[in-house]
Amino acid sequence: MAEKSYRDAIRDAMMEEMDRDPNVLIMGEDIGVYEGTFRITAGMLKKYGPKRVIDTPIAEAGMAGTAVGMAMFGLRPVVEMMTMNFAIVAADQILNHAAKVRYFSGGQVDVPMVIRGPQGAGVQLSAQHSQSFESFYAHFPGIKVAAPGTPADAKGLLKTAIRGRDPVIFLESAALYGMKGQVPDDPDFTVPFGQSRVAREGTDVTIVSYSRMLQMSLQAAERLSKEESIEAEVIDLRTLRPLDLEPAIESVRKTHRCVAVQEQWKPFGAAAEIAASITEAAFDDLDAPVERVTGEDVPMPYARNLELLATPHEEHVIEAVKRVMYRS
Amino acid sequence: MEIIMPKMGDAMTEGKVIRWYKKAGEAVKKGDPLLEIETDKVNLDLEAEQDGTLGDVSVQEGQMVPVGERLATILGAGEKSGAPAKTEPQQRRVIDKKDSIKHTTGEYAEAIEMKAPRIDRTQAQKTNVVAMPQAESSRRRSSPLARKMASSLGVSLEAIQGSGPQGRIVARDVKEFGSGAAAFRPPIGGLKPAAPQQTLEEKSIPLSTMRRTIAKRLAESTGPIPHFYLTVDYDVTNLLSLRQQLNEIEQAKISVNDFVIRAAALAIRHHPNVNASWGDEAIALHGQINIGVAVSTPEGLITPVVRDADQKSLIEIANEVRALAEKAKNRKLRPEEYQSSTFTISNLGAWGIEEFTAIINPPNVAILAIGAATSQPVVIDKQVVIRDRMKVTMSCDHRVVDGAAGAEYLRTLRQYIEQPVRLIV
Repeated sequence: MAEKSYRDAIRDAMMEEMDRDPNVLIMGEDIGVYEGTFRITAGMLKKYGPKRVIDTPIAEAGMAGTAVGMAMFGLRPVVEMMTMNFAIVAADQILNHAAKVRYFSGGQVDVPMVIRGPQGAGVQLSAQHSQSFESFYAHFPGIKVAAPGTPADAKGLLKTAIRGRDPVIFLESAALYGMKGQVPDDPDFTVPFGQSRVAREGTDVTIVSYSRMLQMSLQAAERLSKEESIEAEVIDLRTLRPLDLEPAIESVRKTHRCVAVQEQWKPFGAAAEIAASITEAAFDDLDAPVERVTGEDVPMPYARNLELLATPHEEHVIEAVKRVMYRS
Repeated sequence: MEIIMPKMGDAMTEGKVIRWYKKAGEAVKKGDPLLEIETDKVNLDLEAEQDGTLGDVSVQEGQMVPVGERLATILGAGEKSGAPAKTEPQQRRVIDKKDSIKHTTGEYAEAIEMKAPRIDRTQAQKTNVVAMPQAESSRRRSSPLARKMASSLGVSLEAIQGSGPQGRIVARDVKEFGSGAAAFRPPIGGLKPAAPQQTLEEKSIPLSTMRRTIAKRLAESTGPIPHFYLTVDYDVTNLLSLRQQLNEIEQAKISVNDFVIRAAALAIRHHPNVNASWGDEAIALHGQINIGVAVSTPEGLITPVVRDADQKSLIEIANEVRALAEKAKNRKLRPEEYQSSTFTISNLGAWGIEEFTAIINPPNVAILAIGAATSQPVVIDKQVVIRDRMKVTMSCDHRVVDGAAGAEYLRTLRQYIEQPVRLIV
């Protein structure tokens, strides 16, 4: 174990996999000479050379399409989107090609590629660059979606994504890049997809979240414990497709209350999927409707004060928990 | 042929099966009553429409059944029991059975029905755009977990008060209800050290559809507590003479009212329904008989309470009432000495009032107004004789106590008052 930042954990994962498998390569805008807008790929061009660390033009559809072709022919490309917001341009390549090739080929052709990059609000990137895409991608069969909330998971899940057979959308939280945590050194450490975990044990209420909202939920849980004597169990989903809600359902059977926390807009969001699935599976165990904590239903403002108002905070989680516990 | 839940009126969507008169497999004749059902207005018997054997009784007693759902079948000669071809309930013909049923409580329901809510026209003109609220609050909000817990505890949700938003019954309400069944038990004051025995069963009677309707209609017409009054004239000649003897022999100071308190308490033992409280969801029958005694003080009326009055002797009651009245006049009553009455007595006899009506002391459901005992000529065995008579008027909360129930109580009370030796044995 070593203390690593979320950013370094992502770089370590890519470098370990490039060392392990010569078919792994990375490409993206400003990732080589400039060493990455968020410094994720620092030092990589020097170590692996321009054949495996490819600086691309500003052409996301081309990057994604090239990666689909590479993957179909046996390479394992990792495409960095400067932010996941730019991948919208490449949505046709991702959703209509990467996600469909195995199906259309009757299972003959895999597309083992990763599209990774930062997303989410909190760093004043305004309306076009602060969005979250997990519910958008997780809606489609044929791709996998990861949203790690800790440095260790960022490393372990990215290694699993690179080694796998499927196209993976790897959603990093821009606001977590600097976060530090213990990360295993073992080059074969991986975190499987579709295995949620209990991030904090509790008895009174279940909070379900992922990515940056996981960290916020854990902080809210600590405050609930100190200020309200409420012990919240916090579930980290880790991947949204495949989605493993078993630990959350098991937890709700014990606590009888659930709050789902996401950063994106409320309508049709991940929290809606979580709430509906938990209600289907554990209806008779619920003592209150599953509450959703989400961002405000507006394009993200640039102004710091407005951005803070538009994103979910600990207070919102605490209020929602008190509501489902009939304490408010 | 199938027997289905009939539609008894446009608003009826479901009915309750009260009891089956016939069991599955029993032979039935056309016209035989098969079962009793309850709607929000009426109880009625459903009759067999053909000869045959009752088969496939698919609904239990106490179950609510949507209109048009199958209750049972009647098998003709040669027909076999077993699941008939499943048809959707919506496709079934819903027969309007208004004419072919026998009303068991029809007259009463009709009387209620005719007493339409009074409309204050001045008020209506001012607010004529305000929509009438849907008074149908019979659907109880409850969380799934609360329902599961209630059913595993064998508790009816009807009896539980919800603490969640819009009165939703949540898990903690069921838990509290389960652990605190003695919620109605009043705290016992320091008047009597030995814990008295509980004479009556303490229980909660869930409100039936009919009881809710009666309550709603009557409350709409006469205010929060729909009062009605029953007046009787008791012969207290024996009581007065017994009182005189007792006071002489025992050197006691027992008042007529002390006799009435003991008589009222003993009579309640036979009629626990007058020793009750109305709740939005249930009627609470109290386990103790605590008689509130109206005492006038310079500041106003207060009703100190004689707890477990049915278990106290006349002398004990007399001493206790005197002490309580003294404290009341000096404003020294402690809360436990004037709270938790289950029935109240008001006596204006000392003021020469012969007859009056009293207002019910909530949450009681009845009060006795006792007039002065006066000498009257009465005819006994075709002879005019002079007897002492006392008028008693009982005010009843019609939501809980119906006319006949009040009358029965007064009949029992008569036995204690007119044969007062019962009060000292």
